[in-house]
Amino acid sequence: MKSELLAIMAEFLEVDPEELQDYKTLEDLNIDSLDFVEIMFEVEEKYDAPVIFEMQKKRTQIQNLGEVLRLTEELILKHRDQTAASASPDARTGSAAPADADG
Amino acid sequence: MDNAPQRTARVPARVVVTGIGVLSGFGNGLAALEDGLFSGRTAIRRIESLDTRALTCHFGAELPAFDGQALIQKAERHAYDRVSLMALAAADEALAQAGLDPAEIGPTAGVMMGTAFGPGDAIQDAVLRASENQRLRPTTILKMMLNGPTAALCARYRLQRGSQAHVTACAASAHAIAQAVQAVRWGEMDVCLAGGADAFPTSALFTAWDALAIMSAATDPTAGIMKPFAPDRSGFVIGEAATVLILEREDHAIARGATPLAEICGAGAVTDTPTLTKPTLRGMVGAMRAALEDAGLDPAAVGHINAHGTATELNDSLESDAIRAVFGPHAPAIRVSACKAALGHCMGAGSAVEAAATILALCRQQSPWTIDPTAVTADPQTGPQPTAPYSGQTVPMDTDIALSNSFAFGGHYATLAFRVTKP
Repeated sequence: MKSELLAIMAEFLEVDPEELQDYKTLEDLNIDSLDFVEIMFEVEEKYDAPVIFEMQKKRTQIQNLGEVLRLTEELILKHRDQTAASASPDARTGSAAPADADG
Repeated sequence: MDNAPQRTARVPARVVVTGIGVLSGFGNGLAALEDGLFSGRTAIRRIESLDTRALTCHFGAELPAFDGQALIQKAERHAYDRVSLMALAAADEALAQAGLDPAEIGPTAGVMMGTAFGPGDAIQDAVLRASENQRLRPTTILKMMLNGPTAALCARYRLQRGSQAHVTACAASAHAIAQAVQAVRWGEMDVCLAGGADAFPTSALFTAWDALAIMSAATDPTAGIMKPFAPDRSGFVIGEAATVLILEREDHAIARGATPLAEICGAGAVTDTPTLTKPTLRGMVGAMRAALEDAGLDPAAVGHINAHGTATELNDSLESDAIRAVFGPHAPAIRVSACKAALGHCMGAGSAVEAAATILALCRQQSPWTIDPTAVTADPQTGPQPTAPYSGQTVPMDTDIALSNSFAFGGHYATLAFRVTKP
């Protein structure tokens, strides 16, 4: 998934994916707050998983690109788990928590 | 860095134009406007961007080819509407002609841009998507801002002096230029990028104009689609344009070796709004007199007028009467140009593109699309006078002073006064 996320960013920023190294900061990559939210929008479109809201909350604490990729991937995987759980037989009988129960 | 306005001038400075950038129905660039306008051609063609089969009006003056995407980075494209890209292209051209380095002007430059409808594409697109419960991109709101063209120029050149977006309908860019003249005249900034931009209407906006039943339904170009001041005029068609003028203090321009194209020696704006749409003689006369007073000019000094000339019944009759009222026996000696016959009604960009046309007319000592304003009148006692067949006649003139009129829905009336030093 990391390479796919890098590809999304590289296309948006019009740079070679190899330039997007984990240690670089958002400032290094000239990613301002609007670029950041647009990139997260592209991620949501591709994975059909909500990441914008959580990533926006964390943006100012994010140290580098590696952290962006890790947190984004975590959110996508968490959403997949929740979606799978809500689609399980237990969920259909109402015994599982709603997918968005923890916000 | 301190970027506070410094209104230091105790004596008003002369304000000159040192660069012009234009996108119009004639194409991209000032040269395309000059070639088209002074050869008597019209940029009004059958509309290509919209399906008008269910509507009354079928003609307009769209930009023949414009793709501004290369002007900005891909990451910015979601935040810039077509109208902002048009403004950027015009501003780049204007700065190049002025010989100003876009990377250097920021600290002492500002911007005043007019638009009537701003980012129409972005607004219509967002409305349609929202009505269909589609997601909107996070930066949609930036693309929808009415100050889009102004903000685009602020960002591109990192401008640090004053900036304003004027939205006074079809006088918007006249108000923008008038404000810019004041700002430069009194030392608030060394340089001001001033003008206007309006993209061709979206289907919703065009349909709204069509519903008002003041656009020309004509479909025979040989008989004339839009005929300002003609007794058989039948309304306007819409044009698409962006124009940016580089205004600076005359001493600033001369000190850096630039060649002033013209001086904007006066600007006048008045309001008269008995109804939202009905033009008034008082408003038109008031704007022209205010500009003459601001410029310290005797009416007899004026030799050229770029008329508002919308080819609507009442506007042209009243503007004709207003010219007679302001200039009296001198009126017949004034060469009056009706450029909308060639450019269409460019809405909030109209005043700016017509300012460019006025400067070109003075520099060339030629009046393009010259009409006889005495052919029409709102006075029922006089009645329309016989007139020659309608054509885009360019006629010679001999004057150093011109006015350009702009009148708008909402009762906004503005006139700009221009002066050149004749060789």
